[in-house]
Amino acid sequence: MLNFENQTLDIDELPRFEDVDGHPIDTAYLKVLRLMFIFWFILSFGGLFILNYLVDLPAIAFITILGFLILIFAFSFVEIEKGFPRRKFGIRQKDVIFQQGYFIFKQTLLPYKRIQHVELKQGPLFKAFDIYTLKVFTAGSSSGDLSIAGLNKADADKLKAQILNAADIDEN
Amino acid sequence: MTKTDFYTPQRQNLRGIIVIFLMDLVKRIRQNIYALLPLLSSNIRNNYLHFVIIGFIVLLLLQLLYSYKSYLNFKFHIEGKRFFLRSGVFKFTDTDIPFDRIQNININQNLIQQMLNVVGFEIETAGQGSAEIKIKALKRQDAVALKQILLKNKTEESPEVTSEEGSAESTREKSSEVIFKLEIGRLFKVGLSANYLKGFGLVFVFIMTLIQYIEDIFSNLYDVDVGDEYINQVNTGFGFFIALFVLIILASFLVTVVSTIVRYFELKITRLNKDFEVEYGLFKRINQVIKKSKTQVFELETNPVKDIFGIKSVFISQASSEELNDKKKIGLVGLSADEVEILFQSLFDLKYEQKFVTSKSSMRLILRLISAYVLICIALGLGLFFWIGNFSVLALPTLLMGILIFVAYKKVQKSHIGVNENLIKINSGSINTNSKFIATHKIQSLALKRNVFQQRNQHADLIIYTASGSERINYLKLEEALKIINYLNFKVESSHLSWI
Repeated sequence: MLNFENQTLDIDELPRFEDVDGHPIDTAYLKVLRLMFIFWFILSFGGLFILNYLVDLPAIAFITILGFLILIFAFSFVEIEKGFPRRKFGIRQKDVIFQQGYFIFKQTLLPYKRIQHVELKQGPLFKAFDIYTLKVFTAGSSSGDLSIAGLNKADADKLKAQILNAADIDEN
Repeated sequence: MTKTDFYTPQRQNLRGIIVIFLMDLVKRIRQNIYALLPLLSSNIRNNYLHFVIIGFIVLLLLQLLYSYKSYLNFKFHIEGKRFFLRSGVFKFTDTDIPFDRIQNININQNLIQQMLNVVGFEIETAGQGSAEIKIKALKRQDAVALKQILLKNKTEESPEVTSEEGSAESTREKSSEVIFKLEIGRLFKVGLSANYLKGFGLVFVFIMTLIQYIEDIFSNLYDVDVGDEYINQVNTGFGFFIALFVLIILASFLVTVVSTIVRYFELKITRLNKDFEVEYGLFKRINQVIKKSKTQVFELETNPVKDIFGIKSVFISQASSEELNDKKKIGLVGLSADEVEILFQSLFDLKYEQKFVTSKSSMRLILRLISAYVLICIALGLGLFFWIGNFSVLALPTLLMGILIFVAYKKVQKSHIGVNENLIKINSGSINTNSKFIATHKIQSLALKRNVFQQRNQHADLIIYTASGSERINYLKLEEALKIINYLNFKVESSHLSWI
């Protein structure tokens, strides 16, 4: 059992990030994910069958590629459907929390004071659904930075304002 | 000699053309060395040699043009309190660095630069979206003058650095004190205790190419198909295989020892007030500064052989705008326990003996490691079997698997994290033992990762991000991982210390 001895503070009294109720992402993002899934699905399988029709692939190659594709799409289907409800962000007084993933569940905890800059992005597809991606950069490696995709306008603005407000961001 | 005016756009030293050309050439050859492999075949050599030579000359000329153009376009100057650089061949890149973003300035000299009597000049910055600048050829006095301008202006800019920076520069001669010099005897010990696996891959490829080459020559000279004979020999004589194996092992041993010696030749550590300056290398003298504030990870490496010799290695990772790889760590090798302690104390301002509350990786981690190794061994076994067609060769992957299981066991056994008031200690390694020390306020962000199995059995991987990359501790108990992450987060948020 883990005990932090010689501490002036009681370890059990510390704020626990796992108890934070996260806000879900806008459901418009789920639609985008499904749309992308269908697009890639048609492109890959259509491409494979057309290729097979044109050059007559050897049976082993065809079946291997087909199996591989089915596996990938099955996994990403589960990831999208089961993983979406898990995409949540939380704002606390001193940090921002983001969690995502079904097969690999990742929770990231990022203190405001380590934030270097914030970026609000919107690609063409996101524009059609009126959602945004909020990117939060630290000086650490990029996998430790936050990229919260699928926020609606209200949430994105609120989150960005909160971060800018709390973080002492260098305007360079 | 006239003083160079840095306030108008400047090119590099004229010799820079040669330096850039040669350095680009070395880089190109290194990247495309595999393109030369077909030349090993006599058939290609006999029939296409003149094409190859013509092609080579054309490429060489193109490279010369390219390097010349890149020399012409490379212009830098200082304006206000910013350093400007315009570079590029087909499209221009403008870089602009405010002095207070400059973290470090390195002046170094590789073999080419040594011969042409110029130096390389590197400006390091930290943080997002900023670049590192490398000027390949400057006269030494220009480089020193430029360095002084950049650092002097920086101190004027930010008064709180003055005491540290200004005095480090001006009283450099007085306050610098050599605290460590690696003598040749110890350097040999460092070479002997290095990780031979690093040389192994290189030698393996080299020997395989060599065998093919010898085969080629023999079949040319004696007009016999040695290939068949050689395969037969392998089929009948398992001894050949063993001999080859031993040869490879010996060669990797030699390569590792020699490359370590070349790399760390005459390692010298100088103390400059709070910071350290490190100089090493036989052909390429590298000069780096370890800044106390910039230091993120202090890694201590030992292994059984090092223990016998009584030496330890320390690798320092500093904040960097690029993703850090092993090469960018500053290696301080062949240190004694006392010297490690001195470094530790002055970089952390803490005693070397620290008590930690630890949390160990679960033995379940071994399944994850072994499942990866099993795939490698099966692939190797199948490959060997189809190549040679003899069951006896399967002894090799079996032996390898045995070794790997042992390695995996050791890895899990050593993997743990310790936390206390000021520091994190992350232990890893298999044969080596590596301990990484990170001050808690250097953390950038934290993450927990749990795959489907870990979600069921209540374990988690903890990832700690710093400005010099990430550290991962696998398979901790979820409950303990949560406690650690909440505690570390609290430490970061309540600390007034900066990460840089």
